[in-house]
Amino acid sequence: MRRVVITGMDAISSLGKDKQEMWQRMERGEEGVFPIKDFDVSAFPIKVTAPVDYDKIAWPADDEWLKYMTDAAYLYNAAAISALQESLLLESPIDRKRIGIIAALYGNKFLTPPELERSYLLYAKKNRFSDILDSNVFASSYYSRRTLYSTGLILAKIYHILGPVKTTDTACSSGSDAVGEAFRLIKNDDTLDAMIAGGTSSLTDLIGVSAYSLIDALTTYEERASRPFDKTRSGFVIGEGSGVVVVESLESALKRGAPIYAEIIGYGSSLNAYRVTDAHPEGYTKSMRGALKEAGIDVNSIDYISAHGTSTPQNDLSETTAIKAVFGDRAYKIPVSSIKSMIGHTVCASGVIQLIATIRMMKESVLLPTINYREKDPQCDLDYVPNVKRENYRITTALSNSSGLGGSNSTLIIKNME
Amino acid sequence: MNREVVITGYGIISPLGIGNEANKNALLQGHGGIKPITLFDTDGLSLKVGGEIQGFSPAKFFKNRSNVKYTNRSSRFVMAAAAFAKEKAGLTEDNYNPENTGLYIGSGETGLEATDFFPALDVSYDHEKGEIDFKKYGELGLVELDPFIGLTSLPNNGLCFLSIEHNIRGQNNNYIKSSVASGEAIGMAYKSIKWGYADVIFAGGYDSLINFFVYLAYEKAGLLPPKGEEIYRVYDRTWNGMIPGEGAGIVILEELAHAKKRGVPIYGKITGFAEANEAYDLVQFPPEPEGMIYAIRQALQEANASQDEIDLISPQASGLRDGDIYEAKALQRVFGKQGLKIPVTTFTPLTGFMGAASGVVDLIYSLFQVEENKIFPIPNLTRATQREECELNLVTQPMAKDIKRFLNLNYAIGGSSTCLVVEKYGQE
Repeated sequence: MRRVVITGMDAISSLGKDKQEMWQRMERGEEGVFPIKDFDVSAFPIKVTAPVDYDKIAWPADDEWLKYMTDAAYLYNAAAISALQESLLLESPIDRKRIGIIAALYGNKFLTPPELERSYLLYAKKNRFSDILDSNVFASSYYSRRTLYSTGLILAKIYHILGPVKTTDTACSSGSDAVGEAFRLIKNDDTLDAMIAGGTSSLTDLIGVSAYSLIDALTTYEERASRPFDKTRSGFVIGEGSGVVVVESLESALKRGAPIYAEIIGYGSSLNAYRVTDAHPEGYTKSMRGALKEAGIDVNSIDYISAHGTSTPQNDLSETTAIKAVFGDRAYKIPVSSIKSMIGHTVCASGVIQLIATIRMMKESVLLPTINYREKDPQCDLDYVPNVKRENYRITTALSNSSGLGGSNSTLIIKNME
Repeated sequence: MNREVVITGYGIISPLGIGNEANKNALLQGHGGIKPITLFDTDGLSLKVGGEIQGFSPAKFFKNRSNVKYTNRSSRFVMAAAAFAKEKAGLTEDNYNPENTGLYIGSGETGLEATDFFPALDVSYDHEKGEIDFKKYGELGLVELDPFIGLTSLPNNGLCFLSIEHNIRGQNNNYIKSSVASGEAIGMAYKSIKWGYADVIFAGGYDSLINFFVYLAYEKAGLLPPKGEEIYRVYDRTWNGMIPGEGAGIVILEELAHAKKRGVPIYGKITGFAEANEAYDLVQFPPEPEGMIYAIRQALQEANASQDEIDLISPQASGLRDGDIYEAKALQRVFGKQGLKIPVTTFTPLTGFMGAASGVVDLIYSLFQVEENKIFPIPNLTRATQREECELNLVTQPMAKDIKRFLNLNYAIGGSSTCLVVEKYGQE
């Protein structure tokens, strides 16, 4: 059994093209949720999303790859390349067969809205699907775009990484599951030294908004729309982004003198076996207990909880109830905050972005806030770090929760190694 | 803490039939499932046939029938496969602990398709102005969409409903990786039990490639056979292409002591798993199959099996010329001249290319052969047209064989491979 650490990371979100920008803006409690501008939403039930500003991202590899990627694949690879470069992993003589890739994906739109429109026009002439065939919308690269696992293959190809390339999806918990699986593989298996693990999601365009606006989990608020744990919360805001970490055995990291951000010490995952759209306290309880058990620590060691905190009435109550069930009296002494208040729900990326934000909190001894918190919900009565950051708070060990549409829950525990 | 992992049940649904018996009988009789497509209009497509499952009704595989509407065509298949596997394994609500029971599933490339949004565009597109009228789209269009599309298009749709149906609450993950997805799911489930994270796991996968857009994508990528060719062949020099299929398979993996305590028959034991990728191209195969060779060697090493201890190889056998050559080359390089004696068989020509269900379906077909002490021949293959580069012991006649150990090999276009080593239980 080997110890496992994080040696590189980056995130793209509505609060910035990289983790530095995101951290700074989150510390200021900025809100990265904006009115939808790409199309007229006056007749739509939802009015806001938290999209990425693509103009600010510099694609760090050959432009030739662009046509093979969906937006989600693009965001994953942009963050992964940055995380890899930071880790200096590939500068070392490490065997490329001992490096793997996990990309958690969801929101797989195979087309962009302009492509949708073009294919529709071909169809609409005679209401015949086969007329779409002549469209150059469906070029030979279409196969790669709709093959979700090409996301990780592109990274493998760019850097000649020869170990397993995985694509996983457990909806909103997938990002944490990707990191958890990387952790377990490196911990238990001696065939891998490092894995690039992360998640990505892009659902803020017409296609994503159309598909999800009918699920009543989304908020219809136009202002302060994402308000986790607040009494008036009414649903989540669709976010967009990616988060990727380089997970590595401690041995390998020490050997090559790599910078170490944090140690991963526990992972737990569970299924609700309940209902497709609903979170359930027992699912969270089980994933948190599983992670604590693997970490070999008790609840008194946890200094901070990065909440899934989606801002849906149901999730935030379930998660609060579960934290109380697992932590007992200590639940009231641990700060719990949700960065979804600032960047919306980035679905498959969310667990990884939480981890990246939590590592910053550890390094800087500062707690990122849950913004838009005004009215206390008597049932959600923990310390949610409302509205402003809290300084001089030392975190040694932190726990991060995720829970997904489809009833999957995941918890990761990380530890500061300083 | 390395625990032993055995197979105590399996269930399958494929174009060959619904259930284990139907599939085994079809294989014994060499009955194929490739027929003209009925599910969608093949007008304009070069291929008009596929391995389409017909006559399947999903309702009885859901305790709560109102859940059927939240699932998609392919996830309904896995509900059936899991029900068959659970029954075969003798699992009942009172002999497994849901908390220590896991779910590892490989699924296909489900997602939001262009056509899903056409109903909204039909009522909102302003053809005079040549643009979408978003006011109309919001008012009249959104309600025309399938309200469950966000759920039915989830790649983990099957994972969710299997969990609900069978009260599975433990370790889980869902892999999307073309034709290696279920091989990978089974491999990761094996590791999860071996390392002590679960006692029982439902593992496998499902896919449906019988879909207009899949045919379209395959055609654009040059993966379909030449027009008019409809008898699916593999390792054959007169053939190059894949005929899509659909289906699902689930195997019940169990920690050995747990299975013994239940006193149930054991159908096999997983002793090795490895995976790798080529980092070569998204569609093209590399000239040398280094990744696949690494995966096979690692799996054999983990299983502590020498190459002369392998009695059967179940390959991916996609029927793509370059893929068949790639795979044959890997086997030739791993096993050398001696290896050419190991029988190789596949049933892709009967079922069609099974996508994410490939690995588990192949695994179950191998278990049938272990049970029958017989290797079934590769359909539609004759010595006369066997591709020269694919010089392997391709089985073309039924063959009596005590199969003590077999390889389950899968690759996906794009260069990922998985290899499982499975042993007959109780021989060491």
